[in-house]
Amino acid sequence: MKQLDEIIQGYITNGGSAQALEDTSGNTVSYPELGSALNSYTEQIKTKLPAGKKSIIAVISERNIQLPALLYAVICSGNAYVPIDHRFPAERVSAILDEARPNAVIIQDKYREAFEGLCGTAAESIALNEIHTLLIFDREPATIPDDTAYILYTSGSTGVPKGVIHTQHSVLSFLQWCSDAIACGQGSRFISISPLQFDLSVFDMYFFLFRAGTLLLLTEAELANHRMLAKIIFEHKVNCIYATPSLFQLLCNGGKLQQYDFGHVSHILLAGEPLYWTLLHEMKPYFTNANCYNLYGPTETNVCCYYEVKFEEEALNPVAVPIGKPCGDTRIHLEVYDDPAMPELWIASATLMYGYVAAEASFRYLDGIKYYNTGDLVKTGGAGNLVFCGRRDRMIKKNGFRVEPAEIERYIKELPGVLQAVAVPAPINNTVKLVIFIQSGKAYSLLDIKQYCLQKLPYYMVPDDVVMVDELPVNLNNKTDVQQLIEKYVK
Amino acid sequence: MKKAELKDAVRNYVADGVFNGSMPAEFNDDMKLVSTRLMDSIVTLNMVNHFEELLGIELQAHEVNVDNLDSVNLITGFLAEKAGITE
Repeated sequence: MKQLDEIIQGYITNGGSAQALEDTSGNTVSYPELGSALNSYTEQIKTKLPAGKKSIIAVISERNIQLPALLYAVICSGNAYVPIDHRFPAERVSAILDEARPNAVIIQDKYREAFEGLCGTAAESIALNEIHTLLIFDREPATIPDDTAYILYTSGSTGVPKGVIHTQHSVLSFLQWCSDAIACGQGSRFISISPLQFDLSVFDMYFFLFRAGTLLLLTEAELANHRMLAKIIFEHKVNCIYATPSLFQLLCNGGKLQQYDFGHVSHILLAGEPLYWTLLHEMKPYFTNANCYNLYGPTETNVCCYYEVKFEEEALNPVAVPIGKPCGDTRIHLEVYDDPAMPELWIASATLMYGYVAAEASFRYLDGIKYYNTGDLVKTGGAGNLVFCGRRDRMIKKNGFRVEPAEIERYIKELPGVLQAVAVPAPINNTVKLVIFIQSGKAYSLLDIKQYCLQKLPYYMVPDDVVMVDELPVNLNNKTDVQQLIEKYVK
Repeated sequence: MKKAELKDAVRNYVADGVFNGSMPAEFNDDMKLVSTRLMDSIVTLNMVNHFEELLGIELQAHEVNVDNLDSVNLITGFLAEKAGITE
């Protein structure tokens, strides 16, 4: 198999004179311009970073039309990137920087002042373009494999974020599967919706190259305004959209979709959280020409199962849309614990991560094959399709984001007077509310908790409600009875 | 509807959507909601839908932004202007 850098360069050449990137302000980048920018950035990075050693380059930037070439340049210079969301609180950023120890940072200049204290003192700083600078640091990065492409930090069950290492081989295997399975045509128009640290963005940032397509990059303000997003999808005649069910629910609720003809949308890929038929029925009248796919896979495996939606099969698996069958050469194993009808899904796949930066990855081995135990419980539904049923652990999915309760609880327990804290997901009106139960000698309001958590945690991990309790219920094993808390709250 | 009533309705919506029905004692009508991330885009959009229906108005896509919706006072002022409520 070719390496990712060769594939990127090859597809950029194949793009001919077509348009590769655009934004809503009328800025465009052609394939030859993308190639020139890539070569220029690659040379600058190669010149400034130590040769023959794998560097880790943190990327702190909004999505803009300069960004794809910068990411490709990290890969093509033989290095790996770790995206850091500039909206993350300082403590979260510090935790990532302390663990991955990037020896370079590509930073959008408008964030430089805010992040300077966290990144440390740069040994050198080089302007890469009019809005991004490469900062070089004199430090040894974390040890990662030679062919690492990127590290994505996700919520960690031990209370600290985990850095998931993906190699060029795993990225390429994913992209090759997309190319085989997602039949959107040459010259298709794509849109980048997901944040860079979210694994859905890997498709956005690379797959359009495989179709000599055009990628539309939006500002954060445009992405936060779902009414604007609907208008942009229409005006820019987007063909392929990859997003969470939550995002499509918001588009249906408030996007004023009836104002537009979305006949140009040919492919909708949904992932990141459970998908229900009710949402697909809401979407159907607006996206009449779209083939919909339900894609499944944790950050550790990327997409490993998929289901091409066929409405005539709804009766086979009512309520939840199946996650379908394994992608390509992916092997699955169903490990039975308590309930034989709901085993845990294990995945062996070329798209599997290498491991974590610091945490130990607990892979399972069967017949010498390495599996990742997803923690997801599944059942085998109609037509042999797998259907997601829940989690073995307490991990929560909120709007597609992975939230480990332990991370929230850890910070809440640091507050004065707090004896115990338990974060639970409360399902209310087809959405998930994050509720924190606090046992404390000091009372805390929801405003206190929100403002405190916004300084410590990513925005999507901030509790939606707080309940002060005298004591927490325990189950027969003398552990907090989370189920009882959820039921009590929902009632 | 008078502007004072509209402000009460906005405040009540924020209390429900952001603070789960109980407005914190330290809340004030100039407290920033969107730019501080206290109010997420889902609550914001649902609030816009609610007041469009209540007031019989329609916000343009570009009007759903932080400049118009960042506090109870800003939301009230913007909605009142759209609905032609002057007092």
